[in-house]
Amino acid sequence: MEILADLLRALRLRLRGVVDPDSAARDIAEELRFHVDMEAARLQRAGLAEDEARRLARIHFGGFDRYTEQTQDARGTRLVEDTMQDIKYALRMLAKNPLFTSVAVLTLALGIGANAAIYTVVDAVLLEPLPFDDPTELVALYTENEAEGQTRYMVSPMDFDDWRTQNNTFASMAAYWPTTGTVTEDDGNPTRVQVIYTTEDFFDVVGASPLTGRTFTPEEGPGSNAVAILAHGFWQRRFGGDPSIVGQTVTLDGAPTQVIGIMAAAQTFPLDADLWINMTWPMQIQSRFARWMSSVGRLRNADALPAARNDLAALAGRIAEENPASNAGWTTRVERLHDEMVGDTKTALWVLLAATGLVLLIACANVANLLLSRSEVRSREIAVRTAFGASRTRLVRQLLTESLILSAAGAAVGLALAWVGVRGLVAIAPVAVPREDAIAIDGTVLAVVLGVSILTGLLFGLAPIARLVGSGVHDAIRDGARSTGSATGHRLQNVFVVGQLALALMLVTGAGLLVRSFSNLRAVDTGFTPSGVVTMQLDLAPSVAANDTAVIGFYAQYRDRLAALPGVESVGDASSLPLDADHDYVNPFRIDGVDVNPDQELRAAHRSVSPGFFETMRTPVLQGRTLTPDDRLGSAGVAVVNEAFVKRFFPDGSVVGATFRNVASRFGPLGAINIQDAEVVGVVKDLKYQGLRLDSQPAIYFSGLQSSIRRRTLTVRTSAAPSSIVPLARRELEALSGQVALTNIQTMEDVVSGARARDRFSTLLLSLFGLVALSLAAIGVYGVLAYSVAQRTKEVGIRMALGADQSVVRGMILKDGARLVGVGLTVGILAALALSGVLATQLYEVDPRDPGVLAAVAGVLLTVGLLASFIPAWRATRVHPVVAMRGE
Amino acid sequence: MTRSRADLLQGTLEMLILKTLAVGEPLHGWGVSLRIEHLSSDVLTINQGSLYPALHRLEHKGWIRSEWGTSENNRRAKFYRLTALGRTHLAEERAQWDLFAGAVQQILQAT
Repeated sequence: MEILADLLRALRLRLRGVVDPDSAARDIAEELRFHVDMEAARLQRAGLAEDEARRLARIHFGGFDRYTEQTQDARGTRLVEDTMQDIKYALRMLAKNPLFTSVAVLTLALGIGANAAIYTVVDAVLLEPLPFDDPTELVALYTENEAEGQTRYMVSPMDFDDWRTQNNTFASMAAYWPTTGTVTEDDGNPTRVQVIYTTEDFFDVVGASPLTGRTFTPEEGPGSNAVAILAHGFWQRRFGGDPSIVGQTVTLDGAPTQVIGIMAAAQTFPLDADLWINMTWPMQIQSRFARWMSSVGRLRNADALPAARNDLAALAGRIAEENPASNAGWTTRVERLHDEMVGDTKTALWVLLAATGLVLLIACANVANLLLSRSEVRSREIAVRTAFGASRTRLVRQLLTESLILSAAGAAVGLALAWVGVRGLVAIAPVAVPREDAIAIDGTVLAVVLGVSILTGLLFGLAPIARLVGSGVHDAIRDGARSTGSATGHRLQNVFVVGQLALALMLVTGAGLLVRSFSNLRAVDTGFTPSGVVTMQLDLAPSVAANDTAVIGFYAQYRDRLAALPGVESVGDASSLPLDADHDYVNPFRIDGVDVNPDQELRAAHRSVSPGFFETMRTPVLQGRTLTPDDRLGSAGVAVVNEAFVKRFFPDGSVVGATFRNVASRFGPLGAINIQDAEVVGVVKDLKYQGLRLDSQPAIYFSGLQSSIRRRTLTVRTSAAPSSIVPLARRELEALSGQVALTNIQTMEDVVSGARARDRFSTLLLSLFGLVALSLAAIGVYGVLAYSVAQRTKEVGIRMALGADQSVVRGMILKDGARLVGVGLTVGILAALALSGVLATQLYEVDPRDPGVLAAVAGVLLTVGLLASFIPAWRATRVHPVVAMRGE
Repeated sequence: MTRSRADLLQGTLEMLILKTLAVGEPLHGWGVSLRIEHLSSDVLTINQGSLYPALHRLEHKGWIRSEWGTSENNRRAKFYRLTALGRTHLAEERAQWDLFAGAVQQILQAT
């Protein structure tokens, strides 16, 4: 019984060590003090002075650290107590060196924060699967025509119908047609909406289910009534999220349409959809020439992509054989839907993620160097602790705790940076980021950041540990041994600095290339003068303008009203706006009166622009004239072509005076060209339509008075402030019709800058990272040299005492710096050359190995590196021989 | 080699502490070391760096127990006393030591 009580007491003792390690430690300290006091008292009795007795008692007692540790060891609560103690000790050490700590934490925060922010976006955009059933089976289907330079083009309803019914590899296929419509309320207030006309099985193919209500049934296909499904965002904006809207009707383009369901926010496809309407027209009545539908398919299984590509290509070949006039040269393209939605952003994001990874590596190297430098200072402390019996594992744990606390602090600050950064990134991101509002630092990101910070903590923490624990205890304690003991540490530091410089060079080179590419893009001739032009889009529903004449008349009247406004210099409109067009309508043409280049298939973009458009855009006229108000219905048909048209089809001669035959055509529900023949009256300079990077395609501009395109963008050149013209334009529009909404109001400068947005995004971020890398590398070089100067104080002192010139000493240090920088730059240049392919797709008219950029970047780094060396070198010459020789 | 010697010493120290505490009234650490020196006629000097870990180890095993008390010079000090468990172990240790010491003695006397 008594023995049981003894055991219980022992157990309680152990528990106390865990629960209240402080009091346990206090007990030990007190017990210890008592012992030393008693010993001192004995020595004093033996005749020693009090001080001496005390000192001896202390020495008799032996290693204080080891004693405490072993005593605690004996208590069986070692691990917990140690860890707590390590953390306390580490915090104390870090607090004692606020400069070191804040530099290290900030450096890490930059590295970790940048990674967390970019990773958050990468995760949301690239890694998260699409929020549909079995999303890997979903593919986007396109047509392509190499000869015409058409990639990822749309499909005609008849072709689509053949694909859908004759393929062997798809589970299902749906077509959709994104367009705009106007929803009006009872009070007549119009709202422009993005309408997606879809085949009735669209949501089954995509694998999306409604939030409330239902999707289209198989009966709601051709010949049925149009019904509407609302997108979540539109439902919230317009109906305040009222679920009772299901079953009621909305007025779309003047027609009452029943709402049958609402889709969840995540399942908004395409991303900008406001509402979906079932296609109620049959596929087979449309022409194969009219390619205007987009298409999405579901594979029988996710691995069937190659088979599906072959399948559809074979099908397209067959269709082309049977219908050479409309389909010769047209093939198909099948791509994973996710890849397509991510688009160009993919490479840009991976490049940025790689860049932030490099920044983090540089940050790690920097902190490792800081720790190494500090470990020199601390080597004696460590050696003393080792001598007093602190074990090596114990010291390693202690040092690792410090590193991990640093990296944890870095991660915490970094996360705060990332939190701000992600908002900024999404705000300036050049693409519609899918589920934009859902982007947040979530569990995955936190886990990644945690992993990264632990990894970095270990990465930069191990170097000084290897250095400290590896060095001989006795060397470190001995006074003169500082320089010999630091040899390994110094070499390691040099390696880190070289690595930093190399990484920084790679980053800055990348940034340099992008900057170069961006300035090339800025210099691209768009073919128009954007400043002073305001653009706004409108779309005339049949309820507003019943027929072609009404459409043409409406726009003519509206242009006249706008032109009469104060400050307005000129007004035009266009079926599609330069640099803002989704797709051109590329159709075949026939031309009489001149010899055509026989090597080329006769196809060109058909665009419709009103008189005044080229004048408003200030597009230079190269030959003949532009369009005038007389080029209207009833007069002779006319057309203007662009420079690219002449270059491709009439490389040797003039086209003015030739005549296009049978140009009359109808672009589905969009509108029509209402003339039979059109005489070419002029040639204008190329306007950029499909982005700044692509060469302009041949284009024919028909008169907006001879074609009845319903959706047009008005261009208004004004000397007044662009914002002041918009309310006036609205007022004039209301005077014409209360059912039309003005949308997409933007200045032409916004449009151009939008076309450069992705490049600006990458360039901006990579430049930022390059700058961070450059400063970190400079700090690295400076740190290592400053430290080496401190190390060599005595040597320098002796040299100067022996009469060495200041310049010699300075040269000595600078040479060290130059060697580091030289090696770093060489390694960096080699690595940059090896990795040059990564950026190739992001660049515009810049060779990724551009020697000019490389030389400039190397020059910048060299300058920065030498500047960073100069301060330590200068300081070395300030060493006073006497102070230096005294040692400490 | 180093290790086995340390073990031997450690085991011996523990036995000596137990024995010291078995003799009379509770002792503080300082008292234990004094008593061992005294009883061994100053042949054995206890290294304090080993003494306290040993005391705590023993307490942790439940062989001795401690409580705070007042020392002869009116200072707060921690006093150790043997427990019943410790008494049992002392007997075992002692038997083993006798066996060991006897064996060593035998070998040394062999020539």
